[in-house]
Amino acid sequence: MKDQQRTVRRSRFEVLSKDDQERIYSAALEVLEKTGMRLHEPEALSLLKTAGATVEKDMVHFPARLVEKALETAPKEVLLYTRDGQPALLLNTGNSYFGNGSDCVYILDSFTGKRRKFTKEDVGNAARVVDALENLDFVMPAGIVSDKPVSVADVHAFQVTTFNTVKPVCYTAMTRQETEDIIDVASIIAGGEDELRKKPFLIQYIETSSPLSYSADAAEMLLLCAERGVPIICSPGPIGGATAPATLAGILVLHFAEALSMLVISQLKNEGVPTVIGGCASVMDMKTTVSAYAGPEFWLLNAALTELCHSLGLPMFGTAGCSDAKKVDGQVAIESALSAVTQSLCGADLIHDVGYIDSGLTQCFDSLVIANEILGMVDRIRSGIEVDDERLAVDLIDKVGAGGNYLVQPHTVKYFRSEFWMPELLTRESYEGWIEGGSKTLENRANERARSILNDHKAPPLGEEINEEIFHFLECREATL
Amino acid sequence: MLDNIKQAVLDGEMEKAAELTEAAIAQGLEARQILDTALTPAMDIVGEEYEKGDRYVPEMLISAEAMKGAVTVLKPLLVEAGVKARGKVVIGTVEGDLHDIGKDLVAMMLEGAGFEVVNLGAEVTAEQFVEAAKEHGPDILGMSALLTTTMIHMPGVISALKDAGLRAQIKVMIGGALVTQGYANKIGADGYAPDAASATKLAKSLL
Repeated sequence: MKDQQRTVRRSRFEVLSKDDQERIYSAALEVLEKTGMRLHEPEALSLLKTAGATVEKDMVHFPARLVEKALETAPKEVLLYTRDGQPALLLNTGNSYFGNGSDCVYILDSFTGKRRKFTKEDVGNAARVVDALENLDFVMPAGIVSDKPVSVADVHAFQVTTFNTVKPVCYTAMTRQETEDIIDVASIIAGGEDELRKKPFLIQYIETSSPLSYSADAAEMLLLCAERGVPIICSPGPIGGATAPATLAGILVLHFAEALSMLVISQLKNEGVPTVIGGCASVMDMKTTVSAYAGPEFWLLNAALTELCHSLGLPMFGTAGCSDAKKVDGQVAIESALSAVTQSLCGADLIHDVGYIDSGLTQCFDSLVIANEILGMVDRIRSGIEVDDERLAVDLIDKVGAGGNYLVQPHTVKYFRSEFWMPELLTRESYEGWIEGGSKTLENRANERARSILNDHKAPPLGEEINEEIFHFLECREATL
Repeated sequence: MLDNIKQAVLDGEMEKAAELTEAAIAQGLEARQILDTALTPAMDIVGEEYEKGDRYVPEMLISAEAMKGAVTVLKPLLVEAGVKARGKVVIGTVEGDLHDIGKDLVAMMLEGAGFEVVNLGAEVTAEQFVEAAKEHGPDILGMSALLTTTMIHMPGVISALKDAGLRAQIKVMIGGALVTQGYANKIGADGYAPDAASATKLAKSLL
């Protein structure tokens, strides 16, 4: 896992001017006050009303001061721990951390090459792959478990994820009950609920239903996480042209308004609960009606959201490393690379959906392995070019002079490893060397690494006692169904 | 003492390797013993680490330089004791071609692998190759060219070796970005290697 204080971001990608940022923020506040959000959940309604929001039937109008208050109480830095209680991800300090995506319906099997439904075992395997890949920093339960009862499927997905990686878990749930079960399982792992509060190794991803609505489940889960001190990702998912305006500025206004409303509710419930805002702003493909997971406007939107979050001092939950391609091909590489580089260079804090293909419907480990390589390059780009006397190398250039070479200079030996990125998966072989090595393409090599991880990699175990306690918990839970 | 010499080579510390070698000789250790139990094993480790991907080219070359530093100290003693290098290579970039980074890389890697290398530099004419071959009596002659316009001098060097009656006892290996195995076959060279690491393997196999 990357060092908490790892790299300085020297290279930047910026898409909004300060003035643009302010206009979008003001517009979002205007939408929250004028139009408001639809919300049915009684406790949230009452909290908001008491705090000064205007509630008309099920529409809540948020005065700007509620947002401003929430921005004051939301922690500026959020620290997530590993499953084993080690500090891991320090958000809002200029680092970008990457993780896979959650809740895929299908998995593209690395052994058979066939697409099929996700099983619980596959979710565990995904966690193992993430555990093994050095440039992935957090994990999401990768698929919708199809071989367990629906009402506990996310609990099983969470459990099997934590059994297969030590990396922090960003999870999702369908209901308040599932959220409660997951927090209970996490508390067993952490050694109690207090320990979990002190050293959270999990963060829950919660969505609004764009435009401007909360499902009953979303509002309940938001309140429950806030109450139990579980860090929250406030993540609307508007689709431009369908559930949001077709203009990028309009999508940003709607998205930001929804995210800020979630921030307000979570902070009203429990001041200081760690919150990350952001998510995945996208557009509908106007030929196929698919919600695209890549494309220039996708990358612009997520960069702009990052700037908006950071302008308010909040960490950003970004999206990258994902593709609309149906299998591992050139499209996967193009879309994963461009999204990863733009999201990282604008400084998004937690960046999810790495390895998604088929617009988020399918998880593909080969693609995740390729993305891991891309992330290595992106990390190098973002750390940029360090300029100091020794690196300017004027004395060395003078010493070597005209002709000659720099191959055996101690300066070369000292710096090449940190200055040059070294590929693991990409080839730089001579043509002959490549033929001798079996003429393998990127797809072949990615598949080999994915298979090798699936065959051999094991994450450190949790310990028999904890395992048994969790299995017992799940059995009791299922007995009540 | 031998362990320290070995370590100095692994760490790529040329001066230290030379100083320790001098000290070892002063203590009465034999040159051959130093070569066989410190220097050669160190470079074997370096080679293995490179193959495994744990060590990269500059780290290999700097060890080769350290080895060279120690060997320079040992050389008179080794000659006296009748110990020969693995093989001798005369190497150069052909006439009209200034590009010598690839050739230098090959030369350094060969030295690291225990060859004695005479590096003639760049823009070496056929006559100069032949003269050097006469003077040094190499086992192998290596030629490099980067350009299609200079590659064409390679067969001329081979003919000149034939004319001088040296071709039979000298193996010829060639390399360069545009050179191929097919070209090597066509001009009657004994071997071609696409990169410096395989050039070292090729040189070993030609002996």
